[in-house]
Amino acid sequence: MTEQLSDSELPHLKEIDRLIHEPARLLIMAHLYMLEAADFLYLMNQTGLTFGNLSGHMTKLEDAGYIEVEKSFVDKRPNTRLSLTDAGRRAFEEYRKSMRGLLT
Amino acid sequence: MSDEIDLEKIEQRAVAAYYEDGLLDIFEGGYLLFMGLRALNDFAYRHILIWIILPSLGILLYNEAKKLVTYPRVGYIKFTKERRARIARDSIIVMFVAAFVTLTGLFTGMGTPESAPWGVLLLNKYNLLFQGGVLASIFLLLSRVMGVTRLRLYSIISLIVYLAGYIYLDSPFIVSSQTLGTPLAIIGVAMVGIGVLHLHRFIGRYPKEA
Repeated sequence: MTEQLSDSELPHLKEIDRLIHEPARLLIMAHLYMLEAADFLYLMNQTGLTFGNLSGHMTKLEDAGYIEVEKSFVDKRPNTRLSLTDAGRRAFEEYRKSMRGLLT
Repeated sequence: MSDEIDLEKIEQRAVAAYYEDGLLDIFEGGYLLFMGLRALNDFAYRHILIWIILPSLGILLYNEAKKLVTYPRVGYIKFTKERRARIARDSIIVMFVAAFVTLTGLFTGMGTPESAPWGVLLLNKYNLLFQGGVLASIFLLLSRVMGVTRLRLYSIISLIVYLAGYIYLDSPFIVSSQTLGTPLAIIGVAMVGIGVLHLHRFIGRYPKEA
C-alpha cells in the first residue's frame, strides 16, 4: 500500500484556488489574463470549449467575482464580452505563484 | 486541450488570429500603391501632405473592415493597455525616424553639387538603395513591434524591388516620379495581392456564424 502524505506535508495544496484549478476555467482565466477583453466567440475558438461548457464556466467565474461579463448587441447580434476583474487578476497571479511553489 | 498553458503563446495566437485576415497587408499595400501611382502621374512635393493625411483615413476604414470581416468570424479581442501603448509608442518612433531619414534621402537625391560632403554624395549616388533600405527597415521594425512575422516578407520584397530599380531604372540617383513611384507601386501591388490571398483563405477557414 502506498504511504499517504499528511496535511503538514502538503501546506501549499490547501492554498490552491480550486475554482481556477479546473483546466477549462484555468484556460479561460489565462486568456483573459493575457488580453484585456475577449468575446465569447473568440474564447470558444481558442479554448475548443463548446457553447454550453464555456457558458457554464463563465457563470462560475462571474459568480466568484473573477470575471466581468458585458452583454450587448453588435450589428443586431448578441455579443458577450469577458474581462478579468481586479480580484480575478490577483487570484490568477496568486494561483501561478502557488503552483510554482508546489512543483519544484 | 493541451496539457500545458503557455501565456506567451496565448498572446502570440491572439496576434496571429487578429492579423490572419490580410486586411493589414491590403491597407498598407493600398497606401503604398496610391503613393506610387500618385508619384508616377503627378509628382509634386506638396503631395507629401496627402501622404501624411491619408493614413488617418485608412485607420478609420481599417477599423470598419475589421468589424465587418474579422470580429464576426474569429471573435473580438482587446489587447492589454500595456501592449497597445507599447505598439503606439514604438510605431510613432519608427515613423518619425523613417520620415526624417526619407526626407534626408529625398533632399540628397534632388541633385547635389560636387563640392557637397562625401556623405551627401554617397546618399545621392545610392539614393534608390537608400530608400529601399529605409522601407525594408520600416517593415522589419513594424514586424517586431506588432509581432506580425509576415511583414518581414515585405522587407525582403522591398530590398529586391529597389535593387532591381537601381540596376534597371535610367537615373536611379535622381529623385523623380519614376524612381519614387515605380518601386512603391510594385511593392503596393505585391502587398495587396498577398493580402487578398490571405483574406480569401481567412473567409474560407472561418465562415460567418449564422
